[in-house]
Amino acid sequence: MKKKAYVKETTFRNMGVFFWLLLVILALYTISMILPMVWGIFTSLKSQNEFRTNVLWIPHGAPWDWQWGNFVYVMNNFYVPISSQTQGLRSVGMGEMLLYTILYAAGGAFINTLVPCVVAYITAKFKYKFSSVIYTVVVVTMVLPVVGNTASELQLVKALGIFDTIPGNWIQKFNFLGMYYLVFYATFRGIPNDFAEAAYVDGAGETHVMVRIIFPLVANIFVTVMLIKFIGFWNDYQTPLLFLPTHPTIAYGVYYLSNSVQQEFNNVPMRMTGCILMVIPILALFLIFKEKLMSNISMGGVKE
Amino acid sequence: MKKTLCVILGLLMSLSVAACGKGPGMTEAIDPNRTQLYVFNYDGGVGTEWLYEIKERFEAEYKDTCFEPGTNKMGVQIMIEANKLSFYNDEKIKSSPNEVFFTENVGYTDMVSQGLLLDITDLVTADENGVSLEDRMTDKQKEALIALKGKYYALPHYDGYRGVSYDIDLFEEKGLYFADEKDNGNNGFIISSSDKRSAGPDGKYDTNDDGLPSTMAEFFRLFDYMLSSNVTPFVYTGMYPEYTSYVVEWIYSNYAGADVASLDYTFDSGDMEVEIITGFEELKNNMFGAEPITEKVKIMPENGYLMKQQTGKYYGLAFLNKMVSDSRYYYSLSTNQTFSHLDAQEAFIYSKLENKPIAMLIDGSYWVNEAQGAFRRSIEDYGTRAENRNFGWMPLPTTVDGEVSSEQTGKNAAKDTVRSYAYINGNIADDENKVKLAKLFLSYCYKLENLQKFTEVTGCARGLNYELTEENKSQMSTFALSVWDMRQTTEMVRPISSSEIFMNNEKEFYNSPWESVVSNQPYVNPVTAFRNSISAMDYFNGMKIYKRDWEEDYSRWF
Amino acid sequence: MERIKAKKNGFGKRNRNRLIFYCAFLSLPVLQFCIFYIGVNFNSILLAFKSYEYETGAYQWVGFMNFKEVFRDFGSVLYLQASIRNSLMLYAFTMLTTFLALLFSYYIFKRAPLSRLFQTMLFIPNIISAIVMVTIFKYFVERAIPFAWEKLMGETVQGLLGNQKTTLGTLIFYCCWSGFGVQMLMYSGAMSGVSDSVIEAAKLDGITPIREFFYIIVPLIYPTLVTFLVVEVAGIFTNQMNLYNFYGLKAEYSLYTFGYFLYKEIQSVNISGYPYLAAMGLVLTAVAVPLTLIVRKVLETVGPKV
Repeated sequence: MKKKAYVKETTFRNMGVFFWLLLVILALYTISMILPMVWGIFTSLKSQNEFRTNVLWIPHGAPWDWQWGNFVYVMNNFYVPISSQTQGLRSVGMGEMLLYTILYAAGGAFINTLVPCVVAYITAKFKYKFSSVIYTVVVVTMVLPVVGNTASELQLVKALGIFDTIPGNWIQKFNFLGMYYLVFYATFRGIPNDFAEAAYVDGAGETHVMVRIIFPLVANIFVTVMLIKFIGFWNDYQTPLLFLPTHPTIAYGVYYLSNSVQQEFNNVPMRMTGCILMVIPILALFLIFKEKLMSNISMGGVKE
Repeated sequence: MKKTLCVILGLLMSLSVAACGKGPGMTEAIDPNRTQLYVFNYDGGVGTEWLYEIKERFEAEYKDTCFEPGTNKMGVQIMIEANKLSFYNDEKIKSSPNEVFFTENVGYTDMVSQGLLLDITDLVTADENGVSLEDRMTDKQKEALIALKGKYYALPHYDGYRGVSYDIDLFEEKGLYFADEKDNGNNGFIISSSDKRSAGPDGKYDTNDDGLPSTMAEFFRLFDYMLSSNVTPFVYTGMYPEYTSYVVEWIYSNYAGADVASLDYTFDSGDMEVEIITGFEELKNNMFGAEPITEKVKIMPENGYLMKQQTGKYYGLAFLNKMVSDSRYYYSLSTNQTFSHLDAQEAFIYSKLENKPIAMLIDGSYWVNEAQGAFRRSIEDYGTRAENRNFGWMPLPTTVDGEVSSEQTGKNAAKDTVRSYAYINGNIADDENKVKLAKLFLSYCYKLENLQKFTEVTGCARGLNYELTEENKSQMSTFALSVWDMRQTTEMVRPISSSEIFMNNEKEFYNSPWESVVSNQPYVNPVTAFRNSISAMDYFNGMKIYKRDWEEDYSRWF
Repeated sequence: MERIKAKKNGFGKRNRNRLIFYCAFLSLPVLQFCIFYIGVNFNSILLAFKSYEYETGAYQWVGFMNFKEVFRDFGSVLYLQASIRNSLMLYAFTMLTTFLALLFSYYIFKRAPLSRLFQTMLFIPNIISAIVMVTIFKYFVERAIPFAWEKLMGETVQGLLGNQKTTLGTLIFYCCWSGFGVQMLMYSGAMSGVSDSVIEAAKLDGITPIREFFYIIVPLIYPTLVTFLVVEVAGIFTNQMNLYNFYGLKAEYSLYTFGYFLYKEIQSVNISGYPYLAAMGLVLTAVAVPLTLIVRKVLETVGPKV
């Protein structure tokens, strides 16, 4: 892949009204994003009593007097109780939740990106009738609401013996449905056939062309989609709740915390503490992978 | 710079991992030498303390009994899942490890129809000193529970009342009581605490409700009197606007009486007549601005839609409308969508201590269980002043204005908006030993002695008829006792019925009973409309169901 | 002659290989689809033609009765009409979001000042869990903003969500505000794929940034844009406007969208309510799928050819 090209940097000096306008809008946007976060952090460092009188400003006193205890409290209480006939009653703490989350989100993201990618490649490049059937199926399933299938879905995964197992959940995720199929489809459509033709002339097989020639061209978009999916699964609490009852993930923990009827968590500072605490790991992860995610993705066209 | 940030965040992250360890929740390993019974309990409302208490006694009592013949296992281990989040009241119980459930918000007919629950008729009809659990039920309960299949599949768990609580200490301190002497120069309110108080809603002197308002008009006089004493009359949650509808529901059922109110689910009044509104006469001097014109009808499945036009429903709405029409009547955050019921409880508890007193709270009778943390914190913050607080359950009026008729004095009706039941998971039906054990445990929980203990621990009553001993009562708080007292004069109206229309459309009749359409705008909660300056009369008229629509929807079950 | 024959054989062989490859790689995903999607959901489609009987605990065939009810309700039930109105309104605003996302991506693509920071900011709502994001936002607009207003203006106001005049606007704002991330990422990615020589050539012609954006960049990333526009059409029928995250199952009727209505009903009706919803789902699908495919076709035909 070619290194990022030489789109000339637009600087304060050489930018016109159009860019100034965009700069202002984006600056306002940034402020609107930062303000609630900062307010949330301030609030998370107040006691409930202080919050009654000091809604807006930074907490009273020196930073070491702020209510850091809120974080300790939430961390100590961040658990999900589970009950199972093989494990008895136990509390799953944050560490274990993190492990399940990584297995669930990373594995799921890889599979759930690979399958749409492969299927999109095949249906975009092989013009059989069945290919357009698949395309239509994807569109239909995107809009068709499914009603009352929870029971039969549970029944199925139980019958297959994959209920409450993480690999079993990967099998459930082995599908090509959803928006990113369309994204991959558009990408593969945009890749000229010359690439593959040259390889065919050299006697390369179909698998070779797909894996060695075409996929590297979309490696960046693959990684991007995978990261987006990873974030999606990281934040998904409903699937674990239903299909992985003894493998609670972090998102499920947050859901449990923020919706539980426990009084201790039910004041504004504590809720904010919970929120901020949950943001930290994923934000760290994001900043680490930011470069990978944000740069050099190309879609719909590959540089010649 | 960015690297440093990453390192810091990474550190924080690993810190959060390191700090995890075991949570403080109930953990218990499986004891291989005992038989396990898995019990689910919804940990809101009445909490789980009562169940841990029973667990201990049950395990001790049966420690030498073998529940799995052919194995070495002796005794039983009750594994309690105290869940603060889910009710587990649908088909998900099929994949749940739990065998006995105590939960809320149960669509009984639905679950029975799908075969999710175990038949417990033998347990319900079994004799305990000449009285069976069936004998402890009301006729309406019995009829409805067996309507679908002729068998019992659940027991009522607890009676959750949702209405109004008041701060007794504050009422005493500020003298917020009606005097027996109406023209005492203080607008009818007591001047000193030794003044003789009015008889209150029950019409009897020297009872807990002496001096409390007994008509809607008196309620509003009390509100204004509170304002003049710098007391905010009400606080309620803005996050769950339906809480205010519980007041509407209660005023309505109080006005109509339990027999009429249950027609909302049974649609068959027999010979009894129901008062409905056919129109309004607008009157300036009327407390609610309009006087209903009424007539009496008999209700049957064919005209069930007329239930929406009952006079009591109008008065319920009018009461709430007046209550929220003046923003001085309620605590300012009550309209805030982030103000949860727990926030409201806390504001209520703290208000007197902070000298910005609030007199009443709209919430369930179990709120003191939910507010344990807030009580604890208030004691940390205010010391002894915050200890031993006295709260009471506020009886709501049965009459609009004037004298309460002797017929209506001391007679209340309350809608069950909690729908809590106890049942056994149908998925253990093939395991004979498990069924035996589960039934044994459930019937143990419902032995008279344990019914009483339940009330003693939780302050709430099981949904069955039984008495408390003096010893039980001595262990209960003022608040719990006042709820218990109220229960003696209150008939519970349960959203459960043997009517075909109801059974086939259970949630439609349960979910949003106060829906209305005003100026082409649909509303779920009356309070939302009232805050848009819509009148109770318009809201009431907008609830009307037309004959044609009723027939289209339900005629197949007439 | 000989050569032509050989070529034909070669083609035949290649075609067969292609077919084998095609089947081999599609079989597993299709099998999974058959089991986990069709197998599980087929019954739910059939429900549209059935009705639940409480006494027997079983479904009976009732033909098109449920569909009749659905059509009747579209004409008369107000929250369905509110759903139509809100879903369309939300759609209009998502189009606006798309347009803004394009502009923002262009800004980032041109590496204008602070573009790295803006890129991160635009993507933040996508990495933070929706519940957390909604919670912070909700508390901010309900607690902090009214309080600040009161301090500054000396006038007590309700929160932006609590005040019924601003509720819908605030929810739509939230959807747009938090919805730039993925599009921004994809568009700026696609833009970086635009051939440098094209841009250079344009530059030599002295093109203005606005013209460059409309006449060069947008046409060149058109396939990507079409994908998102098509996805948004489908969104009319599925977008929940975050109502579940804001209100759980208890949003006011006047805020309903189709996506929320169906999700909420599926969560909260009892078993006898499923057939009606299944029928409504089919009706919506019957509208949505052709609409989506037509929009795609139209966009592809009218769009600029690169």
